[in-house]
Amino acid sequence: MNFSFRLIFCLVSCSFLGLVDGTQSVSAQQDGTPGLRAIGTPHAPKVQMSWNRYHDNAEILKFCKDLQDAYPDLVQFEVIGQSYKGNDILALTLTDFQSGNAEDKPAFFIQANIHPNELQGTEISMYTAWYLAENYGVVDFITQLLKDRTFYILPTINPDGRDYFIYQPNNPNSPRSGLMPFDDDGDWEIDEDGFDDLNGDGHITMMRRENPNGRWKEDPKNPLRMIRVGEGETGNYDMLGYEGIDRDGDGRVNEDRTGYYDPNRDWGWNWQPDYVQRGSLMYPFASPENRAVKDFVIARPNIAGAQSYHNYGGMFLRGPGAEEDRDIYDRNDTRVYDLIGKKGEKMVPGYRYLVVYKDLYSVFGGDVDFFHGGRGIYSFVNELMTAYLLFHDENQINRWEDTQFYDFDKYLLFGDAYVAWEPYDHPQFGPIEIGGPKKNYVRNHPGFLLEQDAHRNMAFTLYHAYQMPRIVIREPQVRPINSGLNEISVTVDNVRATPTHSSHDLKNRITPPNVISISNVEVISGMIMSNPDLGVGEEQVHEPADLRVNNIPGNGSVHLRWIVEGNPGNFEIEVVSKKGGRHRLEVR
Amino acid sequence: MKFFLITCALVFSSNLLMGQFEYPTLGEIEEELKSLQALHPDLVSVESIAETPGGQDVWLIRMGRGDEDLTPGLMFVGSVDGRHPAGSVMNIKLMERILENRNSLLDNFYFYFVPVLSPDAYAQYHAELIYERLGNARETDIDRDGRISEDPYDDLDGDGLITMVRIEDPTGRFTTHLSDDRIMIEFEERSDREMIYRLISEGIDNDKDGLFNEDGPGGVNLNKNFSFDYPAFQPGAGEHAVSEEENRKLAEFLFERWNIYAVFTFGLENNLSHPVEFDRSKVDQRVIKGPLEKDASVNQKVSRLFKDNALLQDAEKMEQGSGSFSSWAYFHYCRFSFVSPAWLAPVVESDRDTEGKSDSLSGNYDLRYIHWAESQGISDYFVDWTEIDHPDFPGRKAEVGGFKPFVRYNPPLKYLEQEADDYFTFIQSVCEKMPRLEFQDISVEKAGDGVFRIKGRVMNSGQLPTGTELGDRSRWVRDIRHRILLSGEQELLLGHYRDFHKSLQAGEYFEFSWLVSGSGRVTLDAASPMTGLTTRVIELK
Repeated sequence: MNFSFRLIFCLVSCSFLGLVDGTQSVSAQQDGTPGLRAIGTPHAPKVQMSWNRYHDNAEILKFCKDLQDAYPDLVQFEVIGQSYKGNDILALTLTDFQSGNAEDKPAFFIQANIHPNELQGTEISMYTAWYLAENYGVVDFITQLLKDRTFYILPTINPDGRDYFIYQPNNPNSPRSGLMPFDDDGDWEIDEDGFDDLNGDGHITMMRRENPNGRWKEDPKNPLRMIRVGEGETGNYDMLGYEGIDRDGDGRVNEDRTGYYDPNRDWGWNWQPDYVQRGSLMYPFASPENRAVKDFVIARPNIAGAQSYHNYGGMFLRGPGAEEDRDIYDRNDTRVYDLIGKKGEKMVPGYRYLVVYKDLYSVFGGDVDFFHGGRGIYSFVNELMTAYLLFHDENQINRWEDTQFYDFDKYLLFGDAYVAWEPYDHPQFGPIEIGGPKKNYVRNHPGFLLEQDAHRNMAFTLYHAYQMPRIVIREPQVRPINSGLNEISVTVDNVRATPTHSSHDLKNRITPPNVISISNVEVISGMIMSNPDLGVGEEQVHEPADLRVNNIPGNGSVHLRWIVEGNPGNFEIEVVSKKGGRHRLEVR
Repeated sequence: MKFFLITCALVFSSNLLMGQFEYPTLGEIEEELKSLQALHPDLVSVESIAETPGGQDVWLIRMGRGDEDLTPGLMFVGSVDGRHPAGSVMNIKLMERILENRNSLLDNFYFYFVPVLSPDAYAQYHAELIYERLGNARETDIDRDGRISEDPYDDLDGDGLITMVRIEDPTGRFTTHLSDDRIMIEFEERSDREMIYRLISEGIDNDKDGLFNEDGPGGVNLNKNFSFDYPAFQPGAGEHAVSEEENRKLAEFLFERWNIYAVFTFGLENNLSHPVEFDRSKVDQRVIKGPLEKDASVNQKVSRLFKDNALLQDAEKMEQGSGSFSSWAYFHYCRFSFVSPAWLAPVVESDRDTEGKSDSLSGNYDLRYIHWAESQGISDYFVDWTEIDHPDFPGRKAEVGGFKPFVRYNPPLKYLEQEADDYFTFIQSVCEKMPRLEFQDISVEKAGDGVFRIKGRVMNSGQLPTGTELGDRSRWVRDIRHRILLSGEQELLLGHYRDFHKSLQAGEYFEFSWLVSGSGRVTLDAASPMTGLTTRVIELK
């Protein structure tokens, strides 16, 4: 009783304060939507979405347009470039446009689906945009976040691959590339021997053939599952690989299919050629999709945090991708990553915070390295979905081949996830059987798990976005020096964990320095004080009104001092920080 | 664009009056290329592969006939480095010589030229203010301070040339050369008698950051922008490797041309006078930093051919820099890559001792250049040191002067004729040594009734390998393909109708054996884009 009174009071007072657009529906209580709002979820969203399915390019486009139409003051949608096949690459910009320009606020960047078979990052990105827009004016935290920050959200950066995965026969692991055609097997021909959907069910599953002396047999507990027989045992099947035939007569099946390269070995930081890093293309950013994304990012130096969504394994990954890049993550930068990564482990049970080269393997040319190494942006890759989500078994974190997926299919999906073994007459192998996991199982979440993981992973990114720099200019102190001169001292705080410049950024001068200016006064001298109490600092002789401050540390402050002619009347302090935003304080 | 060309031409002619800067303008180069195409429409095609930030075309010239995909190609590139327009002229002179010689070379090879990869930088040679420009016309913040092009060169003496400024300063690092006090040298140890200078490029510290001319217009240095050993965030390197359209489109072109065997670059680097040594420690790692052993020995071999043709004698070492095109062409394009200046000032006879050595020059190229210029009656190569008032050094003696831009590595055009003749002979001798696939010892055994076993070898009968050793690791270099093509009712009893092999060194071979049922004609072929196609027809009976 007491609680609901307070809730209503808050909503009413919020709209008085102008936080809530009068036309927006904020609660069931106000607009008459039946039922009771579930905590954490928009109750009567303007854009109706189901977060338990996977969307194709046309649906993503429609979503972007609908969200912009519903929230024109919060959402802008644009096309940032074209894919190899000419599909549009879409970007959403979310911020409270009334409270400032998008480019004048610290920005958080989200991209997903670089690997086509890793669908769900797209849904999580869209969920994030939807949740932010639908909760503006409803959840105070979100309202403030959209006033302070900008979000750039690219739901899929591989639209060619996405629709190809969705509409063409594929298996859970194919493809991992865009659709630029290449000669995978080095026989001078291009894509001449791809998968064949022999049984025409839209999934590329497995082929098996009976053999009285085989090395495989059916799992007695679940006949869908094939297991290798032990030493000294005899099985009754051979496994013949994924559905296909030898189309080019070279004695191999499915060896030159659509796509082979890995667009996540294509990013321009410590890029290495294919003979060092398998899967890379001819040169960095050879994929037109990545090139468009890269141009978008470079043109927005306000991006201070970045997130890429991948699957699989339940991980928050940070760089370095390659051991050779160990030195570009120093202690200060690592502290920021640790804060966010460890918080993530709490927010998304079953996910672990790991370092790519140390905990997985060395990779060159990944997106996470481009963001940190190439742009000085704190960035994570989330590897979505883990077997832990099936039965919450701690032993199942990051497990691939296990009975659990079969058990989950049996008890919770009722056989929906596998194609049962069926006979087929193969032109080269003779009588075989075809069956196995559907392409949308294992790596991609089953529908009812998707919404929860979307929310949790979004919350992780919002925590990261929250920890981007937040600059506060304190009230300046004015002290007369003599009849003609005054000294103005001001402290500028960064009240969040992320500095305006990562250590790697500072070292390489990736982002220009912050400029803290005083205007409307005649400046004699300007100083950046390392210890204002004891008068320790450094003078900037050239253009002293515009002090160039290399960094405003996370949860830290910088102190500026000017000596000015005469008695300052009205003056203004302005902070222009690429990653910390533009801030102004008028003093009267 | 047209307007720009006209402006260039005007400046060009005014400099002609001064008897200097006679190299062709971009417009004249374009005209020359198009006239070659018009004269030899069956052999020459000209296309623009990229547009620069300055709105210029990057021209690619393709020369050859026949099946391009199975004819070995050689690539020539100039003006990756804007300081060396002689490399562009050399490209054109080479084209002319190849076309004169059309019948022998053009039957067997394709030749590709990008004479000016960085036209934006090249254009500075003919601009109102002449200086050795490294960058293209992209707007960049070279010193990464948030301000664009805020500290360019300044023509302090108003002569239209950017040279140097020397300031008398006891904290400096430079002094004058004992043999010629116009030449500035960096000293190792102080001594009392020396006049000590600070040496900077011509200009003032416009943005008062303590650095001189560190952020002028232009841009990205294309020769620091390739992906091997890319110098991230160094001045002129760009925002990431291969960020510039000139470089990206050149790379794209090269990767589409599987037949290109070797890349010859003209620039201020040199692995032909001084081949790169093999160093095991540089290749025993994941990211290799030096050439593989067999490739290093090819570098030695080609270097000998270069020197045998009297090219660039007495050349000092000039290392290949980080992010350079020529390093990339080997390490990431995985083809043989050779680079050299188009010209160096020859050592004059009076600088040689009785053994022909030139120790008296003590490795000072400036001195060597001056002696050569004087011997040729060239006198307008230097801006004599002249005192000026330099606002950043009040109370100190400052003088503007030094070599005129470009002169030391870009001689008057007539001196490039001999150089081009020699370089052309060098290329001819490389072509003579190119790899060739040859069938050897083909035998047909009757294995049974109507079953034949065909055996034999495919050998590289040339004197160079069919590709780099590094190329064997790369998916962007094609393996040698070896096929058997059957006729009629013939059937292959074992194996597949084609096989692939890694590169063959000179004299190296692989063996093959096919089992065929059915008589009649079979065709064997062996090919790689970089060596061409060899075919043999056999009658099985």
